[in-house]
Amino acid sequence: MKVHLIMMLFLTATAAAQTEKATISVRGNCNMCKARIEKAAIKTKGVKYAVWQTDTETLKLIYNSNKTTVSKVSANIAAVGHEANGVAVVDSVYAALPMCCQYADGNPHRKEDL
Amino acid sequence: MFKSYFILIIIINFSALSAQHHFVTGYVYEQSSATQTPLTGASVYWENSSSGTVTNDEGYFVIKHRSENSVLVVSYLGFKTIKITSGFHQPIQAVLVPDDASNLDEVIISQKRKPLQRAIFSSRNVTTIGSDELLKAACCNLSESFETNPSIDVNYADALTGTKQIQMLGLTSPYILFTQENIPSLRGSNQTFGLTFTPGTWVESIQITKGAGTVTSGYESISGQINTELIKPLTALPLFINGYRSINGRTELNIQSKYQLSSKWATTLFLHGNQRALKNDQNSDGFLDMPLSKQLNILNRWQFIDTEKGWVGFASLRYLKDDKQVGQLDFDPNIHKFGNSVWGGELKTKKWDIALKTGYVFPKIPYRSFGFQSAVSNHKQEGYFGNNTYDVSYTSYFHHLVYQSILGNTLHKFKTGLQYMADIYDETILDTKILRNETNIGGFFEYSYDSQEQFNMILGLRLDHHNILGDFITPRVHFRYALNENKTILRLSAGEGRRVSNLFSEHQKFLGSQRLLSIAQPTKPMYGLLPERAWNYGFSWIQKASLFNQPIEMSLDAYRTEFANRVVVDWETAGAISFYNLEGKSHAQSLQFSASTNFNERIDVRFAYKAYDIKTNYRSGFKRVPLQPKTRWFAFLGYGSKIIAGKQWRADATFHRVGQQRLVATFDSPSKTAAAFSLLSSQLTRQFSAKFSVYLGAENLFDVKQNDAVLGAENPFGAAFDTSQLYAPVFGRMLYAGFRFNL
Repeated sequence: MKVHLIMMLFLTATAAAQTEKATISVRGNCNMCKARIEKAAIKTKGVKYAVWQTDTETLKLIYNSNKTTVSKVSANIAAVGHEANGVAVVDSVYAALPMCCQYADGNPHRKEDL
Repeated sequence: MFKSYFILIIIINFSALSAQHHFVTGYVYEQSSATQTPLTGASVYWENSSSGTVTNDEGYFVIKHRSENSVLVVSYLGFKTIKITSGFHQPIQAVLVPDDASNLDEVIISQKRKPLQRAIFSSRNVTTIGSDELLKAACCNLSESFETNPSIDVNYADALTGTKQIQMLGLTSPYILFTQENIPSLRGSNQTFGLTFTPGTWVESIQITKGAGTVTSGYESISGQINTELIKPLTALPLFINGYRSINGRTELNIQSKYQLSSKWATTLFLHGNQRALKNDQNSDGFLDMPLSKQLNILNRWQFIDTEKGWVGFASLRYLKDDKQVGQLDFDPNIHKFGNSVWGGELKTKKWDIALKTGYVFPKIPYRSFGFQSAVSNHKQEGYFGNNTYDVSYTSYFHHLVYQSILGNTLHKFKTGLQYMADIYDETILDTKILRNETNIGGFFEYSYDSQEQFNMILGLRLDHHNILGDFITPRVHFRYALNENKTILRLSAGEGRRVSNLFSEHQKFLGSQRLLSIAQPTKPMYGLLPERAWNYGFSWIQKASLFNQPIEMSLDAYRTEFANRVVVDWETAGAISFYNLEGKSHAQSLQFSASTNFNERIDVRFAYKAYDIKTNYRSGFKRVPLQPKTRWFAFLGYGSKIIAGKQWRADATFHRVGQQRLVATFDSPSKTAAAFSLLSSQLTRQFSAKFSVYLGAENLFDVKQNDAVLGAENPFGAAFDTSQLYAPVFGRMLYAGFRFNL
């Protein structure tokens, strides 16, 4: 009985928060990119869960829509050098990325070249 | 004069010029369809030179380029080697393609991983022993799986049963929490022989946590936790057969077969039998060096996984029967049992257990899950040593519910849950019957924080309600701080543990002596003694560096366990054994320095030095605990040849130096110090194909033997008879051979 009550408490608590899910496109190449993208996303206030997949270049997000929006998260990811959901990256930030993470044109890992 | 100076300057300038160099950087990766995987540990070197490096975790490398270097070679096991001759002024991108000619199979993949891994990202000081490492200790059960690992020390239990005792941070197994797939497994009466009841071939991996454990597994761990993961049915081999034979007459057979019902269901049947029918007496004291024994051990495991719906489940059933006969060579139980002409004993154990595990991960909320575990077991042991009898029946119930989720985001995670345990003991020691029931219900909460940068921590707390121990709180904390891009890792931990001592089960070895037992109130709860309680504090420092272009890992561990209360086992007086509550101090301190490296993924080298300070207040004074070496040295050398068409040679050697140990007084001599000794073991394996291998090994190559293992052997019914003071091997050099076959 006690256990049931505890579980119910958790479920109600999470139901009250406006939890939403989104999958957005984020450009990147490797596991170093993955760490950088996920960190930028999870450090955004209101984001609960962020996992980036290398092969599909997509980021799965679970977030509280009262506290943040997809565009805020995208802007934070773009600020660390990864084009997210159409938000472009400042050239100087992009140029500072390690070589393997330079996903755009001219980069050795650009998919069209391989 | 001026001219010669001028020429000299030119020469200096010229040589400076020729020595000029720059650094070439690059990235090595594997391309498969749309993804690039960086290759870690790929070799990058200049042809015909001694200059080389390996790629880092992200596949990067930096190498010095001198004018004489013209061909850069990039190679990686299982991939085609490539040579690069130009473009060194720009970063290099090297795409490696798999080398089909080398006939890659699963064996190679497992070789890439280091078989002994220290956790880097975990807040706890955890070492994982993988299945490759387990193969190095070819024989035979869990108690023998730790010999190539410096974190664990192996002691000899007694001169009769041939049992080895595991020790961590200077404390023996009752102070270590053993779990099997996170279910406490070696509790209560299972302590002494339980490790010998898990065959090594059933084990998939072992996780060793030094210092305070997790509150989610219970309140009992004091010096550490050892978790064993068994082979999982869904990933098990369809068939596995292993046979073993040693010159001391031990024969073992393991058969494991898997039946896959569907992609979601699989079951595996594990069969194990071992026998020793040969009588050995290398030290000519008239006593068996190791018992005559027979064991039958059957395990059936079921596994279920439905990733779409989020359910996972395990079920297992096990039955064990183990018989041992110890004592004088001529002892025949049918004639000499309970007599006073020939001394001997028998130990008969039957055990069964049932375990169920289910887990549910919310498919749409991947960070949220439930887990439920339930286990029931019964351990029945009947035995006698000479005229000392000890029987025990121990039934245990364990139920555990855990819920995991996050606080805000996945940087803040928590686990919380409830645990119920009941332990029912029915013991008969000599003529005294002792019944004991323990029930405990506990709630736990563990918060973990991961900054994704340098700092991690775990804060744990549990509240327990125990019918004998009362209500109590168990706090445990772990901190981790990383510096220099994870090259330096510092950890701190602290935690409390407590337990009820199972006097007779844990100290059965004294039955093999004529020591007179003295205990105040044996039939009172906890034998009239107080529960044991201790705090453990630990510091650990891991440093990664490179030596001759090879990665080297060094670590320093310092731990201290301080007992607030302890059941003191006092056998300082010859002919007597007594148990009483600690009055004063008791502590165990340990310091370990270790280093490990490997060369080209072929040669593995490990070294460790350990120093111990283990003292307790006895009625006769504050003394070092007997049979505890002050220092230990450890060295390991392993080699694995290149795998060609599934064929490979593997060889390893392990060296242990066991320092001086204090011995207790006997009727013939006062307390003295036993000399240090060295042990060397080695093993050679030939893998004929991915399916078949043969191994040959030797233990105790220096042929070290303790000749006075059985004190008073000439008169086992006399007061001086004692088999409990064993500090070195009874059996000398030992050779063995075995095979492994799988489909």
